[in-house]
Formats: sequence, C-alpha cells, structure tokens
Amino acid sequence: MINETIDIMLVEDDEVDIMQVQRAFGKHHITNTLHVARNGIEALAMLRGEGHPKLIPLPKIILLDINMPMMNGLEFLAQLRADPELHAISIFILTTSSNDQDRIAAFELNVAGYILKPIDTTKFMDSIRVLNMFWSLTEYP
Amino acid sequence: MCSRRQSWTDWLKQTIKNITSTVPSSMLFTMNSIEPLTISPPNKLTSGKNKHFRISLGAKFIGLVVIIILAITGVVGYINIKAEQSLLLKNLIANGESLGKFAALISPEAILSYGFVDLSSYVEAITKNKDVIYGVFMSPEGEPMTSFVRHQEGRLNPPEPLNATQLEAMFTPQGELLTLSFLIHFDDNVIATLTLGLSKNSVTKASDRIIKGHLTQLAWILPLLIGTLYIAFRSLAISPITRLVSALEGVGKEQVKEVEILFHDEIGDLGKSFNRMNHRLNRLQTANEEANNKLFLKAQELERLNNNLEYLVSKRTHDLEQKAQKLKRSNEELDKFAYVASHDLKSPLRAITSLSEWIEEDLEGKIDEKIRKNLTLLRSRAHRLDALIDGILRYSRAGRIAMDIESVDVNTLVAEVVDSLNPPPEFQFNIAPNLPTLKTARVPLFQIFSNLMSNAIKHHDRKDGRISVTVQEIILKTTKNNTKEFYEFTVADDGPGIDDKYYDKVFLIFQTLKSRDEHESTGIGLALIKRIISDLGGEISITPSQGRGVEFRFSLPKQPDHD
Repeated sequence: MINETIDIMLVEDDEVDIMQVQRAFGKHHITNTLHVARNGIEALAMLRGEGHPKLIPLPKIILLDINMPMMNGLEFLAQLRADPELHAISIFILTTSSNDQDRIAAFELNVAGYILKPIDTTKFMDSIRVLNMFWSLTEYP
Repeated sequence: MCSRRQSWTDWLKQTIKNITSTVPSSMLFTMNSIEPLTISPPNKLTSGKNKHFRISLGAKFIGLVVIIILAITGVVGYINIKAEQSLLLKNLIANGESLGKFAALISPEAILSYGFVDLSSYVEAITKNKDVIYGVFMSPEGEPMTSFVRHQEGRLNPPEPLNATQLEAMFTPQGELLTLSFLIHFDDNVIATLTLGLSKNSVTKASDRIIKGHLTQLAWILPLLIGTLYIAFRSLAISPITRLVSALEGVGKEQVKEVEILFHDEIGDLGKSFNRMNHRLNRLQTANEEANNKLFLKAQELERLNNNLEYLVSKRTHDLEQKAQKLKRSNEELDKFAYVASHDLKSPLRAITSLSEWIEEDLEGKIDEKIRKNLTLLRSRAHRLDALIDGILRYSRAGRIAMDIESVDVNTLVAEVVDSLNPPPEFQFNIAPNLPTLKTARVPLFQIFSNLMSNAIKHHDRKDGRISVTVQEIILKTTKNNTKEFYEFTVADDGPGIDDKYYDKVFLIFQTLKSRDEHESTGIGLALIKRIISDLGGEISITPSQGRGVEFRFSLPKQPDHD
C-alpha cells in the first residue's frame, strides 16, 4: 500500500478518463489525495500557487495526459523540468498516443513511465494496480 | 650554280606536287577552318650562308656570263698579241738580215785594203736604221776593227773600236736586244765578222698598242652586254619567279588568284603546277568554309535547342519541387490526421466502453440478461471501431516509416513468427530449410510472414492444419536490357481456400470475405502487406488452385532498391 502522505496529481482533460482513474483508485483502495487539473496551465498554476491556492504539500507523483487543450502534456513537462522547485516530481505519462515521437520526447524529459490507455476497462484497472504496486515499492524523498 | 638552280626548281615543283596530292579529300569535312599552310624548304637552302647573305639569281647569272666573256676575251687577245709580236719580230730580223747581208757584200774590199774609214761609214749607214743599236766588224781573231753605237745622246764612233759585249754594255736598257752575226768571205776564207745589235722596242710598243685597243673595245661592249642580259633574264626568269613567290606567300592566308603563265618553259611548268595546287586548295577552302557555315548554323540551332531544353528542365524541376513540397505538406497533414485520429477518435470510444461497464457495474443485480447482452454488443462494436482505427493508422504509416535495411536470416525470422503466433499444438509447419539471408527491412518482413501465417491459422477450419513456407530464385526483366534477381516466397495452407473470384478483392483495404460478426477482422492485413511488399520492390499474388488451400506468393529483390 502506497504511503498515504504522498499526494498524487492527475492532469487530464477528458472527464470520463478522470472518472476512470478515480474509479480505479477506489477499486484498488488507493486513498491518497488526488488533485485533478484539466490542462498544463491549470496544473502549473496549482503547483506554483498562481491564481489557485498552492498545493501543500506538493504532489510527488503526476499522472500526465499528452493531448490536452491550451498546454499539452509535453509542454507542461518541459516547464516542470525547468522549474527548480518542481523538477524532481515523478511523472507517469498516461496517454492514447502511441506516436514514436511523443514517446521519445517524453523519455528525453525523464518520465518515470509511459503507459498507453487501453480501451478495455479491465486492462486499465490492471495498469493502475501495477502502478500502485510500483509506487508502494518506491521510497520517495 | 646552274645545277643548283635546277635542283631548287625541281624541289619546288616536287613540293607543290606533294602538297596537291597529299591534301586529303577528308579535309573537306574537317570542322576547323584551314590553318595557314607553312612549307619549310629542305635544310640545304635555309642553313648556312643563304640565310644571312643573299645574292639574287640575276646577279649570279650575269656574274657568270661576265666571267666567261672576260676569259674568252683574255684568251683570244693573248693569242692575237702573240701572233702580232712574232710577225713584227720576223720583220725586224728580215730587216736586220738584209742590212747585214748588204754590208757583208760590199765590205771585203775595204777589209782587205784596211780601209777602215769606209768600214766605219758602212757601219754608220747601217745604224741610221732606228732599230739597229750597234754594229761592229771584227777580225777572225775576234779583234774589233771598227764599231758604231747608238747612244742616248746620239750616235757615236768610239775612238777605240769596241767588241760586241762592250757595245752591249754601253747600251742603256731600253728593251731586249737581238744580235745578228754575218760572216764576211773572200775566196772561201772568212776574213771578218759583222755583228749587229737590234732593239726589240718597236715590237713591244706594237703589242702594247694592240692590248689597249682590245681593252677599249671591252669597255664599250661589256656594259651593253650586261644591261641586255639583265633585262632579258629579268623578264624571262626573275619576274615570273618573284610573282610565283608572292603568290605562294599568300597561300593559306587568302584566296590566291591564278599566276599568269608568260613563257612555256620550266618556270612556266612551275607556274602551272602552282595554279593546279592553288585551284585545289581554293576548292578545299571553299568547301571548308561551307562546312564551317553549316557547322555554325548547326551550333546555333543546338544552342537554341539547349536553351529550350534548359528552360524545360528548369520548369519541370520547379514543377517537381512544387509537387514534392505539396506531397510533403500532405504527408505532414496525414501525420497530423493520424495523430488526431488516434487520440480524438479513440477517446470517445474508450469513454463509451468505460461508461457501459460502469453502468453494468452500478446496476449490478438490477438489470436483466437482454440489457447485459446489449451492453456487451455496444462494447464489442466500440472495440471493432478501435481496431479499424488502428488498422487505418497502420496502413497510412506503412508507406512512410523509415525502413532500416539489414541482413535478415529468413529461417530465423520465420521461426520467430511461428513462435509469436502461438498456434494450436496440432498445427504443422513445413518450413523449407533453404530460406535465404537477404538484405531488407526486418520489421516489415516479419509483418508479412506474421500476417500471412496468422491468417492461415485464423481462417483454418481444423485444428490440425498445415502451413508450408518455400522459396525459389527468379530473374525478371525490368527493362529491355536489364534483369533483376528476386526471391519468391510461398506461404501455403490447406485451409478452406479462397474462391478465385475474390483473389483481387482480398488485397483491398477493409475487404473481408466473412461478416465481421462471424469472424472479427478489420480487412487491413492483406492490404497492408501488399503495400509493404510493393514498397520493398516486390509483388504479391495468390496462386490459382483447385480445391482446398490457398497459396500466397510474394517476391522480394535480392538487393534492395536504392531510390
């Protein structure tokens, strides 16, 4: 079981996808706080406390979609890595894009994982279960 | 000198003959204009004095004639003078002899009577003749009896009679002396001798006069002769040669007119030879000029064509560049489309699936079997659409992915394909052991075998089906002269087979032979591999067969295309 003091952030524009993550968390009894941002700009605002109350503590894990309006996942990731306060956050890409270029760009920005959203709900549940196991094995600073 | 002149003209004639005969007729079609002809005479003429010191032909000829005339005149004059001299000498001697004989005839009386006065008067009378220098009567013992001598100051009778030698010594040298002696007889006894000394002066003077006369004649005749000869030689030989030389100088530089033939002699022949040569040269030059003109026109035409071609090429290049740009843009648009399709079309699909599951989960125990079946159908259609989207994306990417060419061992590759397909354990695979190693793109080749073999398994109606993979080498004609070597692979099964009327249809995108409800299939596979094979430079077809089974045959070039 993942340490409950660790906050997780989900950056995702699709409401059903948000619901899916939330349902998966519920199903696997992941009780950590889940902050939801609908695009990169909103996520950055929340992390920096610009126009939004700053998230305290800062989430240690971010689940990030790539295709989003206004600021997409890769742009957000580049900003995050350039920010001295935020650059150490562990990022997991959760996307439908199987595009090679996206994958290469993401790993060049040091993502912890690149997970394709499966169409099958069951498979998605499995993905979240594995992620949970991974997180619970990992020691975060 | 004469022979040398002869050889020079011969040489010139020969040279002209050579030029006219050796100028090849092919020169008519040479592309360059005529180079000025340079004829170098043999070394004999250019080397040595002739190069620096020049004596004209006329001067040489006239010099020779003058020398001959002088020699002839000299010889004739000498003979003439000699004859004159001997005649004069004869006269002199005859004159002296008649004087002496007469004196000898009248003197014995005076000698016998010792009348030396008479003797002396005889001698004086004789010496009055201006040719006689002295006269002396001498006794048989050699004693002079009386003498008389012509001296510079006049004639004198020496007081003491002098003998001949003494008298000669008195005579100052005015020329040679001729001595005549006469014996004076009385009754067959020699009683005295008369000796006369004659001067040759008159003879010498006469020959001098003759020489002077000859020289005066020569002084008149020689200039006249030289003048005449010069004029004659000039008009006969020098001026035709000079004209010929100036004409020869012009050969190759300009159109040379014919040389006028004035005399029909050796020089005239030379002129005729020259005219013949010149005529041929002119004809050659005219032909050459015509050829050059034609060539110039051709070059102009070629240049015009070239310019036109360049214009066309640049226009085509421009068009092609534009088309390439357009193609690049449409490719980029296709990429974007694929990207959008994969995300924006699939997200709602995933939402439909998820939502239908959640409805089912949330209504657990409250819905009947019919609703559950409909929800399942809803999800299966969403899955099908997802698969179709994947298929269309793969098909659109197939032609554009960079294919890394590497050495691929097809034996290993097919084994890996079989392994990855996870076939039913009863299935049999007959893989030919001689599958080649070829240079091609690995991933597409894997896709081809994987697709064909998985189709064979998927569409087979029995669990113990059989698949065979074989290969053969074929050579195809690509163009008229070029051939290309291929490997032709065969993947055959013993399944239900395909009706031959569908052979073409199976390679079209989204074409399935069975309903998708009966057999879940996108209809992408064969269209995709047909495209991949085509991109690799090969072809795929179905071998017509009777009865069961289907045999796919596809070719791949042994060497990948380099374009």
